Amino acid sequence: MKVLSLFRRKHWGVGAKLLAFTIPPIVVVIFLITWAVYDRTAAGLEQKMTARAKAIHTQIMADREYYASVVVPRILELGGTLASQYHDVKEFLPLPATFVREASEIAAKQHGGYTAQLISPWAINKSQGLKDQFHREAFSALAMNPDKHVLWIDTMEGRAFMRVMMSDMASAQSCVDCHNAHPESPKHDFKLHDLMGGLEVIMPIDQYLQESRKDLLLTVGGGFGIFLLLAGIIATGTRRIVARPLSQLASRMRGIADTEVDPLSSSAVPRPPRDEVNALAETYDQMQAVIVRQRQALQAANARLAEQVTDLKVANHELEAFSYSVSHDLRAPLRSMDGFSKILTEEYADGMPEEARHFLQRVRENAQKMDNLVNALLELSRLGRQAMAVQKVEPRQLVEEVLGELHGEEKNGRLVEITVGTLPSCMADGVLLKQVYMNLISNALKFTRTQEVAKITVGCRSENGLDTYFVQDNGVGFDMQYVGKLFGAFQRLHRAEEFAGTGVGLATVKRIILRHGGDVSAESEVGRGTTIYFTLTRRRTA
Amino acid sequence: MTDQIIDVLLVEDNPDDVTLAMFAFKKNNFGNRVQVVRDGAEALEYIFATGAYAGRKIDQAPRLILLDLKLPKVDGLEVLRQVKADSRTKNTPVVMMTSSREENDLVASYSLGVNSYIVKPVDFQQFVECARTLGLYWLLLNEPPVSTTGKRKTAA
Repeated sequence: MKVLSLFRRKHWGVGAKLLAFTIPPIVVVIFLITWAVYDRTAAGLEQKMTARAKAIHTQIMADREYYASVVVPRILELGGTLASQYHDVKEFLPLPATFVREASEIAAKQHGGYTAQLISPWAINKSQGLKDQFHREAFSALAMNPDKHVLWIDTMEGRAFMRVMMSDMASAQSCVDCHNAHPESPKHDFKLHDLMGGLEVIMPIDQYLQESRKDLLLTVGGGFGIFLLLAGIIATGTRRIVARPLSQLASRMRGIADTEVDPLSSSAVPRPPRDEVNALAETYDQMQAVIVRQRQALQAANARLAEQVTDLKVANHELEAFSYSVSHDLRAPLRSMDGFSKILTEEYADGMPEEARHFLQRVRENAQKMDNLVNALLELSRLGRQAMAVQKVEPRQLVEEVLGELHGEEKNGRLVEITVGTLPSCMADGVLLKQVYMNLISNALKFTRTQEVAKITVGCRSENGLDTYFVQDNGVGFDMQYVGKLFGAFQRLHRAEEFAGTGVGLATVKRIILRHGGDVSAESEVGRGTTIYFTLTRRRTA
Repeated sequence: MTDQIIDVLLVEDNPDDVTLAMFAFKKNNFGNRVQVVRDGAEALEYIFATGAYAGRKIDQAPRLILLDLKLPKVDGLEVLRQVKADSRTKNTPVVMMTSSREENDLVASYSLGVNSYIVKPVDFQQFVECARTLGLYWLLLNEPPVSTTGKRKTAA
């Protein structure tokens, strides 16, 4: 079934193709080998049979010579007669040829090996004339060359025989004389060494043919077996060494190609690959197409990016000019407001109502407040433009510096418990990260002002393998519905008279964290406290 | 008027700032010998005794130049550059007085050889203090390399 399914497959692998290429020449080679083996077997059989026939020929000729040269003269001396009808007439004795045939018949009965007969166109006994095609052809061949022997393979009664014809020469004068004198002889002019007839030896070769067929089958079968084994090894080897790595390479390449699926090309019905090499080539084409597309997309993106960079440069330049202008021109009026109010309260204090003095004081306070706002705004804008020096920093050290600088501030005599947990080192701009902690811890101190015991925890926990730093307090907290406003510049969730501040502290924190590629978030509950979380590397979405 | 020997050249375009500065100087008793110019070009004319101030003697340099950074026509950095580039004026102390806390301006000023850089405080009280310190240091304590004014001890 498996073999059948192999042949039913429309697409063959490299191994199968290799076999398809290899099988025809190997079959031809096997055929040639078989033919050679057969040829050699047949030649060997012929040689063997010929040798045997010659031996039989020699034996029979010797027997006949003895009969003809020793027995026959005695019979004639005693007045006996040699005749073909010796079976019917009691006084007659067998002719030498009859003697030979009948002796060989006995031998054939005893051994089952062969029969031999003397045949001749001039036979005294008519039953020993030329009887068939073989006899005629063989005899005409022997007439031309008596030293030859003639072979013939014949089938008689379903059995294969080898017939060998060799010449029968007039070897003794007695033979010549007898034949010339015999009344039944059709020829009377024989001379010594004339060709008188032929001796035919008929040998069954079924057994030999079977043996050689068996040899042939063994040879061919063995050869084919070895071929199958080799083919199997080649196929397996090819599969393991070439096809499988090719398939794996193709599937890896397909992995790259599949990263971007073109909806146009994927709608076409994909042709199944013909083999691993084709699959590889097709996958390569797909991958190349994807790479080309991606390169084009990349170039387009780069061009857009370059444009954006230019825009950004312009915007940044404008922002710089703007903040420069703000820092100069926005301050000058403030100085005038503060300066002239001050001069009024000092130089013209006499006769000035208390309320007027108070209002002038309010003018000065507001000028000061606006100055603080301008400063904070400038600071925020500066943070966005300042170059960062990112290196390995120890947040714990920064926190300790901040706590040292804040020492005594904002405590207002209440109990402040600050817990600093384990803070893993990180890659950051130390100055900026310190600013983050400064703002967060200042906020924590500020918004716990109403608590009898302020509890502030600075720590870090790992979330999905990402270090998430946090500053937690048990202060006034805020309503989470306003969390979106928390990190905006000049956004305040508390009234100014409750908690002073410019409203840029958390905006500054967010700006710094975003510049580090991190995220910032907050959790709070009114009256229970606030936790501000930040990371320094953005969560990887892939 | 042009040959009058002065202590301080105040280069300031904002009239309010001029008024407040003069008030602060008077408070600290050195407001009498202050020359005010209102832009960079006028400052250069005064310092190098050209144009409207051509009659002035160039060697009668002010003992201190208070220079605003942002000025019409020629800005403060350019005035500073020319003062410090000229051998006749380079020894005159120049104090940059500006609203700007911009680091670029600070670095540029110092690289041009400014003697001091002061950010004008919004708080007038602080400004008066600042003016007092300036007068005390540059007009009383500081010894100029060469006595170009001829007269000392002008501030009481």
